Amino acid sequence: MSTAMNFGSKSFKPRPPDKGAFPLDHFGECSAFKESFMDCLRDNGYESGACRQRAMAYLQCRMDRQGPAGRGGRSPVQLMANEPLEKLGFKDIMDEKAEAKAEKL
Amino acid sequence: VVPGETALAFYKAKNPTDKPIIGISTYNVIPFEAGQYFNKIQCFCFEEQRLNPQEEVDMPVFFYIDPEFAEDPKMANVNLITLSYTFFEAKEGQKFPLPGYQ
Repeated sequence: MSTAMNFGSKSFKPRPPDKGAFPLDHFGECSAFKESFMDCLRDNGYESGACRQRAMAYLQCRMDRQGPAGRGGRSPVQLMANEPLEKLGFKDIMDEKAEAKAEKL
Repeated sequence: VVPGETALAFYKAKNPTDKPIIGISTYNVIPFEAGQYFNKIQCFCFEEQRLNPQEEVDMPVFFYIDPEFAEDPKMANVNLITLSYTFFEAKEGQKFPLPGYQ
């Protein structure tokens, strides 16, 4: 598949994800959150920015749940390691929530 | 998506056979030059994933485009970045050649 025109072109080098792999959600425990997120995207012309609250809710669902036991009978792993949502790019939404709470008090 | 803003995307995989399959996936980004700006925070790739017979699962990818993308004049005409995954059946003891990963 080589052509003479590929001088100096690099092959694509995949990089691993920063926080590793998501375990599979075999039981679909967070499917409802995913569907809610996808509905939002469809309703908003697939503008990712419009649906960040629901994306956040999906990730929170993963952090709250445990999947099936690991292979070899290991104890269940969380569907996502706990991480403050501010660190996942949702700081502005979390700040808004904190402000709304403060106002209610 | 907006560069710098985290985003979520879903793929779906189904095992149409009557045997469990263990797969590993790897990804590709087009256009090639945009790949350096594509940052995966978490995804389903590079680790073995088991799909039971007839099982269908959602596969999420949580990512962001590096904000420097917006500063790169070579990216000025890039309006569409396509992320694709290929699922390979894992063979016993197979490892992907990823220097520095694990």
